Amino acid sequence: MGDRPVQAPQLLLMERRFRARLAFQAYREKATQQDKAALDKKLAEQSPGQLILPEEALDGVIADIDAMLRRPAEELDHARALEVGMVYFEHLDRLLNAAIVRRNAVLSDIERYDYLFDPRLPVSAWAEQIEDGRDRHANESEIAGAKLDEAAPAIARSQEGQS
Amino acid sequence: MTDVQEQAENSTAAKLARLERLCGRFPVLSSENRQDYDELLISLLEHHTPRNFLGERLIKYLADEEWEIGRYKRHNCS
Repeated sequence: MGDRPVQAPQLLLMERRFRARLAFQAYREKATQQDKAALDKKLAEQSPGQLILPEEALDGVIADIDAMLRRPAEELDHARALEVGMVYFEHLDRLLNAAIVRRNAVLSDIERYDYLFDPRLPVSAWAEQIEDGRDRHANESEIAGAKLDEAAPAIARSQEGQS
Repeated sequence: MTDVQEQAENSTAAKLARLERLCGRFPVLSSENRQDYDELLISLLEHHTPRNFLGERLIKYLADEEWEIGRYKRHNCS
């Protein structure tokens, strides 16, 4: 058995990375040459006897850096950022999924051991309980009234007998 | 604040302290807000109304997982 052949997508990815690297090197080379030419031009414009301080030589650097930082991102930039961060996001996604699975397991435990929790009544059951309570209270007061009616004549009779 | 409210707050605080003592430190990083975690745990305790410590412990596990999920989601967006 030989080595496992490199698959086509991997080859394509390697090729793409190689070409991107070449393009970046060419871009850097061009930028360096341009900077050098600009500096030469600036030096040629100044009078030969004038001294140049290091701060003066770096005059335009801050503006250049600001311009680089303010440059709006292109689709390719975002694709490159995704390529760099893909492994991190993959790990993060795996961790998130594992946490969700654990959360669901705890929720099913809560459901399984429901005797550890006070049962909650639905709203309709609460309403029924309140209605029942009212009815019971009304019945009790009616019964008490009837008992009072029954007891009142007997008390009156006993009072008459005593007098 | 009435006496009843004060008593309820004290009992909740005691419950949280006992859970932390017996089940381990709450999983709150120094960059996160401890009060937010407490609020999450109290909300879950109020919703599920555990009868005893075993129920409270299950709710603590649930709060831990919810907290972790929230953290990963925040990292994903940042």
